[in-house]
Amino acid sequence: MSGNFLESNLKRIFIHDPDLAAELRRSFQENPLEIRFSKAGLPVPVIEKKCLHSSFDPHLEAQRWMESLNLEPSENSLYIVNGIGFGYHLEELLKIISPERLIVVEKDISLAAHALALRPPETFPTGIQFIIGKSPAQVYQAIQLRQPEQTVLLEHPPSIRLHHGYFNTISGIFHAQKSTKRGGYKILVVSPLYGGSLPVASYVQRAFQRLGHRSQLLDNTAFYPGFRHLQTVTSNRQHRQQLQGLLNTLMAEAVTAHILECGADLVVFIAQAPVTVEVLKELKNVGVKTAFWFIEDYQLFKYWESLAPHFDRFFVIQKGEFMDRLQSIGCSDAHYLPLAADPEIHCPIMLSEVEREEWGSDLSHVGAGYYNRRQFFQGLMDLDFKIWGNDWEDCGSLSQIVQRGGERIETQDAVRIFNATRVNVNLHSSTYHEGVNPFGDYLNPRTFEIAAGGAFQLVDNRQYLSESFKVGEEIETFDNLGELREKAEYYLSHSRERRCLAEYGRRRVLSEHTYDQRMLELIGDIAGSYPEWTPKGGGLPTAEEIISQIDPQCELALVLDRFRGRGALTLEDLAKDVEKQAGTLNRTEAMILLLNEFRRWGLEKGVL
Amino acid sequence: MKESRILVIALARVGDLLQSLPAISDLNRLSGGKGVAVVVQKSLTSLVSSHPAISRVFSFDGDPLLDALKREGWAVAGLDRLQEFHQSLLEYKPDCVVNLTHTPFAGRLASALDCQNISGGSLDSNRRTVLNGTWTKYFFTLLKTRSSNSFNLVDVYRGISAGERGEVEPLRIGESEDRFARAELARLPKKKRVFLGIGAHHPLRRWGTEQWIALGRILARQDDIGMVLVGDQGEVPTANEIQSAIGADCLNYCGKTNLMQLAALISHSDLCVGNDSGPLHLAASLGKPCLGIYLAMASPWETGPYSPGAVSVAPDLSCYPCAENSVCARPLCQQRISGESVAEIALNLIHRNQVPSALSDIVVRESQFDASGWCLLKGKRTPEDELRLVWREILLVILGGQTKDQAQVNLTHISSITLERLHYSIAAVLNQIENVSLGNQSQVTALNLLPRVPELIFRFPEVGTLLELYRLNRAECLQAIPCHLRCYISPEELLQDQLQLSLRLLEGALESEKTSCANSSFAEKKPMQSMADSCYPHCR
Repeated sequence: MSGNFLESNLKRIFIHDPDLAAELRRSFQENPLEIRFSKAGLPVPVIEKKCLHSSFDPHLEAQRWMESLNLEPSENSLYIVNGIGFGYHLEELLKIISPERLIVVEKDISLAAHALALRPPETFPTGIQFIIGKSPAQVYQAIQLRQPEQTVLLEHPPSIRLHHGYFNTISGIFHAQKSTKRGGYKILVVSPLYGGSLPVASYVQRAFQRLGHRSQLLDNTAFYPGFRHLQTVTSNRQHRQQLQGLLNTLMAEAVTAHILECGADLVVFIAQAPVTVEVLKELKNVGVKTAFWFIEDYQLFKYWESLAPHFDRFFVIQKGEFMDRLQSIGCSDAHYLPLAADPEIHCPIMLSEVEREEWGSDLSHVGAGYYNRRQFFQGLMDLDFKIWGNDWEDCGSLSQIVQRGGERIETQDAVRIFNATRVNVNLHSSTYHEGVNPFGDYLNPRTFEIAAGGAFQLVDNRQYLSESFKVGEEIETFDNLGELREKAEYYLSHSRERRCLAEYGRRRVLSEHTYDQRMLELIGDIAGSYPEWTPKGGGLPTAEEIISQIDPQCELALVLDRFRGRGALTLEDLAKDVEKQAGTLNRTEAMILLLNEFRRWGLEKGVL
Repeated sequence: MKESRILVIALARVGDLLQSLPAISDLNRLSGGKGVAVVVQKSLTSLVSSHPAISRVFSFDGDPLLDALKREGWAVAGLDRLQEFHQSLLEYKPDCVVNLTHTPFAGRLASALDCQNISGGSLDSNRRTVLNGTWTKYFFTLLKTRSSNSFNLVDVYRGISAGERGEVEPLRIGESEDRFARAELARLPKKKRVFLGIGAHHPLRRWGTEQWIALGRILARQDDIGMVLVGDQGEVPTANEIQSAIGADCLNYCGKTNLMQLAALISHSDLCVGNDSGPLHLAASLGKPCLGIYLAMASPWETGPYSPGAVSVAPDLSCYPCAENSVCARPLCQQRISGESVAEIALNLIHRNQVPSALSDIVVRESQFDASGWCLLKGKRTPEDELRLVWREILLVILGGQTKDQAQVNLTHISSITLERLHYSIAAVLNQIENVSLGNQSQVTALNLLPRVPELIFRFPEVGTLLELYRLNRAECLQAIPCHLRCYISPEELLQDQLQLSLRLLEGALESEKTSCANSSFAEKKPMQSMADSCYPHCR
């Protein structure tokens, strides 16, 4: 099959997005596609034995699709079509809207490449924006860059059927983010008591807040001393487990009480957060959506087996066999959601010479003293190498290089260390390997955090690494001690290359691996799976909506007029604005302040 | 000045509302007996609607507002409702507003009534508190300087409202409620009725169930005493436990009466024993004998029953009274006052109408009224009580508006150790002020001292009241000065302010006391107990 139109179509794409053009060309050459010709003689792609257009008359089918949409074109709207197919439906759409208002989203790069090769330039006129092969969050963010007044989401049904989860998540993100104009969803993020996943809970909460939702962190660290105490109550393991089970039940009940009181729309539990099946059933009964982000190794921690089927959505950082295992216990649509970084926290920082001296070294590792690290790091003892983190007791000669007596390193200090270290050694944990786990798949948070901080790292090779970073361009890896030592030596003496790699890694994280993007996918997945799911009470009204319900000439309408176009309106925003106004208050303004004072009182007394 | 239309904002709980009633009577006299309008919570309307000094009641119903806020988040419906309520207040056209509630909401409401004459706290449009009048400022110092206060809250309210002091009118009981009370109490054959008010808003202020039972059992052994348990719905389980432990001579009305029925029942009491809560203050308002149990942050100096002869008991503990919003895992004060001790006082009050002599571990005080009609507690004096009395004298000078020349501070009844503590603190704080005044940054002196006031109060609690008053005055003055001019405040201004004058006044009084006791008596006069050196951080 010759690509007659490929270059002329790519030429226009190249102007705006040379990387995409190159990727499309490469994909066209490497990935063949099954093509059939319709009775009308037009090419039709076939994927997984399914035709993406009518095998009789694709044009006629496209006309019927247009009729079914019943569109009234608006100059202020952007039209987003999910699914490129071979563009017959786009041709129909372009009869009533200009190409500048059309955005085409496609997951499959190869399909897009063949469409561009086989369909003439008139099918894809200049002005169309193509978003090809990007994650749902990236799709949303790319569209948001155009600051659309209004977006109209259109679906090409055969494409949707083919990549149901992907397009569903995109629709879900638009649906969920639309609600932020009214204050968004009320989301409660439940933290574990301690451990590595603890800070993730606050990153998640902050991300939801930045996305415009009303998020709240339910911090369970206060239970930690009690949990620790239970470990010392008895040496009988069975008794200890029973006591811990009781504590878990108590904590889960406390979480439920909080959720019921605050009236959340969604509760996101982070790995090891206290929860029980009974609690999940109760939350289901009262219509609260639940999600769990299992950000640990499924082979190491088994509690997912009893809990996973009871969540509305279950998010994981491993695929393959884990997905199959989940399916076998009735959790059929778990969603892969890798870890990420929070660029507001994990960022490059300027350090003084004194700080560099304190926190820096040629090589360092931040992390707990797992078995494989204790073995592997013996081989770095002759270098300028520092170990930061806890659980390094009884580590023999390594204790000489364990910093701060093996105390837990706070996030901001970890960021200092990443920045001050020339080569950050990131060895994923294992409880039984001697060094690198040759079967390791998922990426730990540090992979993203070091990169986001603009710091250089050598990370042990992981199966999923190449999905997130270009190895050798954005990140550098090792498979064994010899390779680590060799690369460390090289990059220590080639600081420019080291800085380049770190900078490319940072850009990749900022564009694809932030908690904002992960939470867009999370909420998009839920909203896409439950189209009827809306914020309780419909969210907060906008000024325009309130004005439409009252006398437009009344004092309140005049006060609200200042808030037109500013989305959801909270009483607090309004009161703050009134307080800033100079001069005497009118009666409505005085009542707004009074009502806000009453609201504060209610919050203080816990009755609101 | 005769005010014709006075509006009092009293949006507090039942106890505070009852404590506002004498101030309302004063205001009624000020208005020439035309009656005072009050804003109260809807649930308390019945309590005040028949009060002789009250001509009109505006009931504020917060529940629909809460509902609207919960439902809509924004609450246009709530705004409408609030506007309606506000309109009814505006139509009343008050020419004087007296706010006796310390919440910002009440302050904002006071500010929104188109009235220039406001007593008590109000808020300006920038949500800054404006404290109108010296008594109001004093009211706002109470939370921080509770250990120095000797003014009953009722007198503070009377000071804020600045009405015409006179007789306190008792609550009126309606006929139907009285019939209800007589019929109910007929079930208690014994002659003497002791009411037990077992609840309190704050859990730390509640006396223990075991102690109530011990008290009840002792009283039940008396041939002529029967008991009546009173409280709200929340106290029902505790009341049931106490009732079953005491036995047959005990009626239980917890959660079974409305407020006026409760008042009617209490009006037939021979003694009301209670925590610092509604039933105790109801008894005091009805002029019935009272025995209050004061725990945690509740102090009888501040909220003791405002009735002559009323008795209050408090624990004799170094940590008592604790600070507002304290969290206490092991409230010793709840155990310190035993059921037996309270029973002894109660029996004395019932049978001999006497306050018993001192009891171990507790401090017993009796409410009395001085010649000017101010409530003052009599009884065992702790060193803190002596300090309270010093401040009472100096504060009456400040709050009463007397000048330094007119003021006389009499310290003859104060022990030497208290005088020493006071003298030390005054010298230390004056030293701080002088250091600030003489500093190089003389133009920002007032601003320099202000942020240090909380620290100074912590270090020198003996002068905390003055320091807090100073802070409130200065803060208010500074707010009125445009920001860019604040750096030009001169040290002279600081020198002339109330704090330094007051301290000098007190220092002078101490000096003259020293002189009069020269050679022998000052150092040895009324030694009470040695104070640990750590209480006296060296400063000079």
